[in-house]
Amino acid sequence: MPQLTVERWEELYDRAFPQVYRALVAATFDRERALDGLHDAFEEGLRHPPADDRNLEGWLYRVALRKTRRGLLRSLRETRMTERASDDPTAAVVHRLEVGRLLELLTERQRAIVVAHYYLGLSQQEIAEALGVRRGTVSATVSQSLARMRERGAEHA
Amino acid sequence: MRDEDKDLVHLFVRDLDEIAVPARDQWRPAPRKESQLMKNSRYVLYASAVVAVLVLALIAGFGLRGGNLVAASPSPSATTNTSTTSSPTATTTSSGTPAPSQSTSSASGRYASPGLGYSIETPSPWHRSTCSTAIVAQQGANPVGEIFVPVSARDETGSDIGTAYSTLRVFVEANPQGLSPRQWAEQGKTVGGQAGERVEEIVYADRAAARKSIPLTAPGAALYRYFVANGGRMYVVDPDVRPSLDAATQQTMVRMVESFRFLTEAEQAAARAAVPSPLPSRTPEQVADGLAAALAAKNVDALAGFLSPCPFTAGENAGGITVSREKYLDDLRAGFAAGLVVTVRARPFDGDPASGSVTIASTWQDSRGTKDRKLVLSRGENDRWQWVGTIERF
Repeated sequence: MPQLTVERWEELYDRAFPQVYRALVAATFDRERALDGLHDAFEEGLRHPPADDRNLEGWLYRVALRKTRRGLLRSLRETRMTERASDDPTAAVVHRLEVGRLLELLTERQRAIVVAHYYLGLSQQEIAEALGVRRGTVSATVSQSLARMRERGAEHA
Repeated sequence: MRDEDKDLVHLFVRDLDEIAVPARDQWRPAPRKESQLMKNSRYVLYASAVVAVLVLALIAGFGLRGGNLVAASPSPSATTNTSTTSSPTATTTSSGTPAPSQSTSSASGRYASPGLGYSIETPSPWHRSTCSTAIVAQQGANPVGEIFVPVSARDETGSDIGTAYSTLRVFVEANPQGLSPRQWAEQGKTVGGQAGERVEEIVYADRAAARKSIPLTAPGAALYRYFVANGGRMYVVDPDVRPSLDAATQQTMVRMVESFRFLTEAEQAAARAAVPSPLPSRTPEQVADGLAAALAAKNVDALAGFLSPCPFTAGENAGGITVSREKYLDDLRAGFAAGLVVTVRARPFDGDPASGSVTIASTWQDSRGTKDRKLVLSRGENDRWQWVGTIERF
């Protein structure tokens, strides 16, 4: 399969940017990290473009997440978003959203998985590869996250 | 998909689509916005440049005056210039160059890279730099490399602007587009390019390869930069030449470059088997507490267990250098003998351990004065934290 040209890569990046950016903001609750991650992913794509243009959103999300992975998987492994200090106005916007209030209940890693699954439509296998975890872990995390969000939904019903 | 899952998909799409995206001119990474960690790193590097210049100026000064061997101590009062006082600095000589004597020895070893699958001759004292950890497994597509230096491990020094002596570097980078060595060299990948350089195709390490000549070398055998592909990766053997390169060292480098070859699978397996097991993980708290106790007790042997192989000494808003652990500890030992007292405040950490780097405060006091210094702790392989350097506050 032919490699993407630079022009094609830039075109696809621009097309995917809004959705992937929003997913990253929802996962990290940090606009700056989301943008930095995407910038890194853009450069990565210039240096080593994906093999093809299928599911480019998934590729960008995976690479951008990897670029912020230290924060995702180490510092925030078990830290709830609500325990983090953030003066990012974007985070405040997300808080006001119904889905944002549900995401508040999750750790950042859980959010990354849930957003990838329900917003970007990544498969569990793709998410597992992105986060360096087993597919079973992704499946269990989605189930646990759903249960937690449903509890909250029931409380507010 | 269950109905409730469909509802969630709908909810996610409805709500997350409301998140405003940045203005279009911010979508691309130029100009980049730095994280605080990057700013801190850059801070140290900029600082290093200034100290390096001052160190070189001092060296030149000693050289012009015909001064004798000078070894700065870790004591804050060991030198007269505040930009260099934080450092167990490099040994300097009256010749005006900080480089310890370079190799002309014919004694030879051979380094086999466990992760990159090549070997290269290392005539003593050439060796893989202690500041260049062995690549045990190449991960990802980013270029990696190993650096060889012409001085003993104890005599290794460096700064943010490089080393004072010539080195030999081996870089390996993924080659997903399957470029030929000539294309790689002509496009200036990995090591860039220079005006007027000429690329020629040759056989190197028993493979079709390319090479570029390197200017500024001494008369005699010419040095070249080689490009050779293997296993989907491009190998670049790169002599990094300093103007002080003498003919004997150049000849040794030529010999080393020509000795490069790829390992067989059995050889690489043997090289991997020889890699020591990683040391156990260690928390930043353990390192901070250990440093506080060892420095209070002036126990240099205990400090050795916490110190990285290639510690740096830098100044805020100034520059910095690296020396070998052995040299650093020798200078510390001499400082303690001269009355140096170091007090460490092991808590709180400045910085987030999750970032992989924190600092703790310390005060260094001797007969000539008191200095505040940040001790920099960093996470290494296997989540093992260590003391990697010191930043002096001016």
